[in-house]
Amino acid sequence: MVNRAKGIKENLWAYGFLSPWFVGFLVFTGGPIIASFVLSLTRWNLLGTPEFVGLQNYVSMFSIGSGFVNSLRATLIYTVISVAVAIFSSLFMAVLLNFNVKFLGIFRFCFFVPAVMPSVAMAFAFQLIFHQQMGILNYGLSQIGITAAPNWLNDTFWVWPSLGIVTIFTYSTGQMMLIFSAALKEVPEQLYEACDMEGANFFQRFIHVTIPCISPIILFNVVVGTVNSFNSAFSIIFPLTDGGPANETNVLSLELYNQAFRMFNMGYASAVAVVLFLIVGAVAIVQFRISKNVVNYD
Amino acid sequence: MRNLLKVRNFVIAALFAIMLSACDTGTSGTSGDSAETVIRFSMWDIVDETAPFIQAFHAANPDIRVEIVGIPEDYSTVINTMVVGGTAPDVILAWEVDMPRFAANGNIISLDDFVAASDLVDVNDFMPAVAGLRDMTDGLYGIPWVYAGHFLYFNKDMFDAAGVSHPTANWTWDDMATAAQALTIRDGATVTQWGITAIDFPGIWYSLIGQGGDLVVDENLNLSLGNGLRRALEFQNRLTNEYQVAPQPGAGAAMDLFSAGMAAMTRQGNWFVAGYSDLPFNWDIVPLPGDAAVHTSLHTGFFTINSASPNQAAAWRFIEFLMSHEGQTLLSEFTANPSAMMSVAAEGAFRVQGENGPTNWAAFDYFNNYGRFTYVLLNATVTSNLVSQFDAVLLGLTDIDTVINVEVPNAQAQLDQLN
Repeated sequence: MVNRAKGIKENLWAYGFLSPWFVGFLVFTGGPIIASFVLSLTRWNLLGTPEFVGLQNYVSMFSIGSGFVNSLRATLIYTVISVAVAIFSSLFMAVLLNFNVKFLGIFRFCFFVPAVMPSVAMAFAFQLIFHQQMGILNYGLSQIGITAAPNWLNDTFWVWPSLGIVTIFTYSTGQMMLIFSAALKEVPEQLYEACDMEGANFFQRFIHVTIPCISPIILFNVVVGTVNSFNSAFSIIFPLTDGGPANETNVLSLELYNQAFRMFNMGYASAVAVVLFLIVGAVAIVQFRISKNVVNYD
Repeated sequence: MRNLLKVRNFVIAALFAIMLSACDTGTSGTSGDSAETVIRFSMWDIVDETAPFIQAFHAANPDIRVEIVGIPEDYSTVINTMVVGGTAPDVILAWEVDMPRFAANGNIISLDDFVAASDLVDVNDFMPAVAGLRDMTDGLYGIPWVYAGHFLYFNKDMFDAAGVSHPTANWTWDDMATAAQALTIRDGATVTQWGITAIDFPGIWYSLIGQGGDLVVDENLNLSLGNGLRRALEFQNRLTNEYQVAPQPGAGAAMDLFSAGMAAMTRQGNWFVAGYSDLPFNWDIVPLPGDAAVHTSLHTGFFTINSASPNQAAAWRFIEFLMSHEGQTLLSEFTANPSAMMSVAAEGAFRVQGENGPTNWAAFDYFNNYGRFTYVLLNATVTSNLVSQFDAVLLGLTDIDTVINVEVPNAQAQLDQLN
């Protein structure tokens, strides 16, 4: 009886301390998700009363000229580029940090500092860097004889590498670097010693030992990075290109924002949010399924 | 008893969590000093309570204190969100496109009774284009604070160095293009001085289209874009790609080649007069050159009162002061924009004289003669998206026929959906 009372007491305290998370989840995540599903079936200009329209928003989304397909294409391109860039650059930096060199703390600090900068501030900085006439990047290129430098953010091809470069300095990449850095320290030293005895070089060790050992972490970072890229695209692209040039980078999160808060088309925007929610979920599931054959959990 | 205490502690913990997640709604009301009423006022300029027009109001109305809600970016988006969330300020400076929406949805109140009882606000004194905006609502829901249009700014020193005559009020597009070619300086393949900057403000595009002969927006608030748009796109394309005297459009307006001394001309709103007051070279303003027509798109904003405000009487006293002769004079000096009231505008308080320019204050007259409210009456995102298609023509990403035959109808369809 005493144990049961003690258990109830502990449970109450546990729920008490967990309640901030529950409240936060319900108010800021769970509630809005449910509201989005409901609002996606309405026509609502924010100020008036929502009007039930059934699936009309979803029909409009997939009709010709809606822009949704273009936004979906832009989102997928950005996701592939940003995840690839973030994974490779963060792993590269983590490997560098794994070397036993002097001033490692300083290097770790320097690599991570850009990641704690607000992404919007960083985007504005890169807007100046990429400026065609007055940007430091094109100035640098002109100094090595490249005078026909690209209009980085206003060219449908070069805008994507530009966004890729910005991705290297985002929080997502910095976070991945720390996770990879921790994972690399967990690789059993005896495996490397065995490689050394076999005469393997650095790259052979990396491909055949390091990568398999940290493959669960790579999967984790790919999944989290993918999910993040669907959402974080907004904070980079909105200040940097605002969806341009010619809607080339008008990703779904930006389309959602424009429809909801700039065009006051909340029903349609909610439908976009629902589809984005389903896409993110589906991509994560597919990634886990595919990874079963390539991830080493031993 | 102990169990009750445990339950109480749990309830306290849960309530604390709920309190943490609660948000401040930012409502106005009466301050600790019960004699002082606090009202909140939103505007897009970055100002604080030390602004002369606020200080003058406080001096004349010690029982009311104005708190500024500054929203420098995405103003319309933020204000609409605040209105929906019930946190909008007492006095909302509303965009032309928002004011009728707010009125139709009951978010702002009619000012007819206030105006009828006021000795300070004379609604018959508004310039004609501004007065015409009253037809947008059934009754008076907003009072225009000031108005603005667009100019051609030019660097006198560059013109003189190149031996090119200064622009005049009678300039045409061809005159501007010829001058831009003479003023562009190249070092091999690199342009070191541009004849004219790219268009980095949507309003300039719509002024250009109006000069091309289009109405831009008809009396039913539908897009009216055709040959004027074609002429505008062809002209700007010539400047950018054929003559290469204007740079390609860039993302954002972070860099101003004109103020940096890298371009001889730029087309901007008249509010840049204040921003350019400390330029280190001699400069001046003229009306935008005409083509099929002389035209500038006009801008304004409306003082409105939030229908949810508990301090509507105090809010009106603030608006009444700002629309008085003293208030309009202070606002004109502060914003470098002419008063919408003709009697005040005629006194020229908007003339913010810089060290090296401008001198041609008569250029402001063409706002009254040739200005119309056009694209600002439509959803800003739709018109901005259309501008990104205009830019796409200059970047070689699309063609003029596609813009006119596909993108303009798409934009109109989006506007129809919003109405």
